[in-house]
Amino acid sequence: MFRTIVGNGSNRIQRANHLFCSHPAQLSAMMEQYWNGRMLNAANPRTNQSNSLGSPQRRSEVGAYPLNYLLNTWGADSFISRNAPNDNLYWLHLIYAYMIENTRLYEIFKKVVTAYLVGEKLGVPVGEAQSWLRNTEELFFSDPSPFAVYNVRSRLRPDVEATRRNAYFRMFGMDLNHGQADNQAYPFHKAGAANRDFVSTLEDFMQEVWVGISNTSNTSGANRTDNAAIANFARQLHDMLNDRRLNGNLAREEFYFVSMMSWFHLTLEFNSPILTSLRAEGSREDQRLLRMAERVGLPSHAKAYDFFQLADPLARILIQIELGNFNDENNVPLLFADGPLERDMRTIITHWSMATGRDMKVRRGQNVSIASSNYRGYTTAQVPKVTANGNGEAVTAL
Amino acid sequence: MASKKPITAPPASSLAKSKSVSKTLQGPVGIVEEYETIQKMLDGEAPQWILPPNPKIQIS
Repeated sequence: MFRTIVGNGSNRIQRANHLFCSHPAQLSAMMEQYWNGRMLNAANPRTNQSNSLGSPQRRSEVGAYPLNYLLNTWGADSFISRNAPNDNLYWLHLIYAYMIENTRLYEIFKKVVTAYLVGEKLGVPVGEAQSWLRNTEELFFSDPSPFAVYNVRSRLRPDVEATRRNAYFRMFGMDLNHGQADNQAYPFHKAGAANRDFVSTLEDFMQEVWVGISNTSNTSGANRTDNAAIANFARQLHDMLNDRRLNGNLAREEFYFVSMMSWFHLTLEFNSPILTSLRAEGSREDQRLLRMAERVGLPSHAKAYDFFQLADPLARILIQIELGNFNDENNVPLLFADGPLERDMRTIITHWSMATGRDMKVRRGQNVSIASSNYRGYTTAQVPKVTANGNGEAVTAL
Repeated sequence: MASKKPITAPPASSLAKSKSVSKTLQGPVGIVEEYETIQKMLDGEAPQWILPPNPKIQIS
């Protein structure tokens, strides 16, 4: 969300520094405005079919600060960023926050902020880093102001980290890949209604899409692409994800957690003031995170690079799946025909395989078939004999 | 002996069918366009956000 506000233009770094030096109330107002500008379409403008409450085009009908309250309190152009917020905005899927947090970025930043706030062990932060520190503490480590849309902390759920893990578990059936600093499991409420089949279904989906990508330019030979199977897995994912979002469930949590991870991710995307203060500059976000982790003695995840690469494209594809765009097998070829969807699917399949160690490019069930095809049912008498040919090379006589 | 069939152009109906398949791959229902629009929106490319003024930093 903060990365969206900064944009990807040539003046990106300047805009990011501008954001980091804004007043926390301005940043808070931006979040309210973003929420106010979310898409609230009763029907999908492309297909004209109705959008259920909770779908990407109608995430929630819970109100933010009324726009006139924002404008009257803070003024229009002078304080908040947009004066026409009804822009049909999306934010990234919760999987983005999950992937980014798996790098262990949140805990590392927490240690950095704490170290700067309580002493000078890491040195004294430069001027602009002071603003970043203040904003980070105010937005993500303090009790939010009452009535704010991103206020997901209360006496009933005081630990926002447990709330995040709870949301990840409900949506994806997974906890983060790390526990507490002492490697103990992090305590959080594991809801009964959780998508425990999410990972296996997503992996089936990826493997079938990879078959499609591999065969898309075939002009002869067998084509194992199965559009119906891909549509079936897409529908299963669509149904389970939308089940967790019924009537706008988890929308505010998703919005806040995606915003939070977006802030930290943006901080790592260039040599920002806080990284300069820490002497944690690098050429890539994972390298900067690694150096920062070394400074505070808490290792980042070894696959952080893959998690960073996965976060954006997987979030975009899951939004499409939640929209139901691939429930129809006629649309499935878009996932492997040359284009933006195919490029994202390639990235996802490659980095998911790297991050999990489970190769999505291997045919489903191939390991089993390899094992069985190697066994040829020889009896002792039939074991192939190895002899030497005239050149002294071993030859197996079958 | 049966005479060979002359080679003729495919019927117009089959051409129309193949054209519609290729249109599907390009996204006749606008999925690709919608995807690109969402991507641009999420990348902050369009619409571009106007940041509030900050006396310390001037954006070129």
